[in-house]
Amino acid sequence: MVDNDTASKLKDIEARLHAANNDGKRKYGNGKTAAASGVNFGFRLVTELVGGVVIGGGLGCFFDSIFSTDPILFVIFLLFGGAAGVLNSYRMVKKREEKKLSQGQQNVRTD
Amino acid sequence: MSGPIEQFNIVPLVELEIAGIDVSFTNSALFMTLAVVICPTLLTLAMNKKALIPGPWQSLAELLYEFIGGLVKENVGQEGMKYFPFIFSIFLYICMGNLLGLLPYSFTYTSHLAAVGGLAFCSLILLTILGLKRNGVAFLHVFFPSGAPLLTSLVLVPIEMISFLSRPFSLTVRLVANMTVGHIMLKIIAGFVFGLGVFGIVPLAFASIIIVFETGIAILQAYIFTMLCCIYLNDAIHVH
Repeated sequence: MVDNDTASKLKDIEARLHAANNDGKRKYGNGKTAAASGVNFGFRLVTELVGGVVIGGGLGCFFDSIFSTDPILFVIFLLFGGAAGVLNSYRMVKKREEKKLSQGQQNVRTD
Repeated sequence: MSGPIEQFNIVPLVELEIAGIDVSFTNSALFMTLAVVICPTLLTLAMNKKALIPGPWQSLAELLYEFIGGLVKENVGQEGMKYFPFIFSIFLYICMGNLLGLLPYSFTYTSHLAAVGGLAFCSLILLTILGLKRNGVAFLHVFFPSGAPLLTSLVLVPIEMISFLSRPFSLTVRLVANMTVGHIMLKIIAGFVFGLGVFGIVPLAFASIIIVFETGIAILQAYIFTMLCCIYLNDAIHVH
C-alpha cells in the first residue's frame, strides 16, 4: 500500500523531473567542440576511403589465388574498391549535409 | 622500462593445444572473461533492490538501459527493440573492454584488430542473414538498386558489394586506432614523469588530464560502434 505521504512525494518528484527535462531539453553529446568533431569526421572519411581499397585488393588477391589469374583480378578489384571507397565517403558526407540541413530548418522553426 | 608498444603483447597465461591448434588462455582472454563476468554481475546487483526511487547503482543501470534503448528506437524504430539484447551486449562488451584497459597493469582487448574485427565481421554476417530472412530476395536490392539499367550491374554490383563488405573494416579500424593511439600516448607521457625528476610534475599533470580524456573516448568509441551497428541493423530491416 502506498500511503498519502509517499504519494505526494512521488508527485513532487514527477513534477520536478518534468521541469528539469523541459529546462535542459535533455541534450546528449553537445559538449564536443566543432574542431574535435571535424577531426573525427575526417578520420572516418579516411578509413572509409582506405577501407574500400583494402577490401577490394584483398578480394582481388583471394579470387586470383582461386582462379590462378594473378594479377588481373587484383587490379580490377582494386579499382572497384577505390570506387566503393569514394562511394562510401560520398554517402557519408551526403548524410551529414542532410542532417545539418534538417537541423538548421528545425532551429529556424523554434526561433 | 618497457616500450610503449609492449603493453599490447599477447601473453599466454595457461598454455593449451587442441589438435595442433594453439588455444592458450591469454591475457586478452582473461580480460574478455572479466568483462563478460563483471557486466552481468554489476547489472544484477544494481537491479537487485528494484526500488521505486532508484539508488545511484540502480540509476546507472536504468540510465544505460534507457540510453541504448533510445539509440535503438531512434535509429531502427520500435521493431528494432527485438534486437535490443544484441545491441546492449555489444555496447557493454566494448565499453567494459575500453574501461578495463585504462586500469594500470591491465590489457585492452579492444586495441586488437582480431578481437574487434571478429566482432564486427560476425555482426555483419548476422545482420546479412537477418536481412535475407526478413526481406528475402528484396534484400539483394542493396547491391543493385531497382530501376537501374541491367548493363550497369557489371560495375554497380561489385562496387556495392565491396562497399558493403568494407563496413566492418572501417568500424574496426576506427575503434582500434583510437584505443591504440590513446594508450601509446599515455605510456610515452608517463615515461617522462620519472625521467625528468622534479619537473616530472608537468607530464604527470598532462597524464592525469589525458586519463580523464581517455575515459571519455572509451565510452564515446563504444557508443560509435554501437550506433553504427544500429544503422546497419536498420539497413537490414528496412530495405529501400
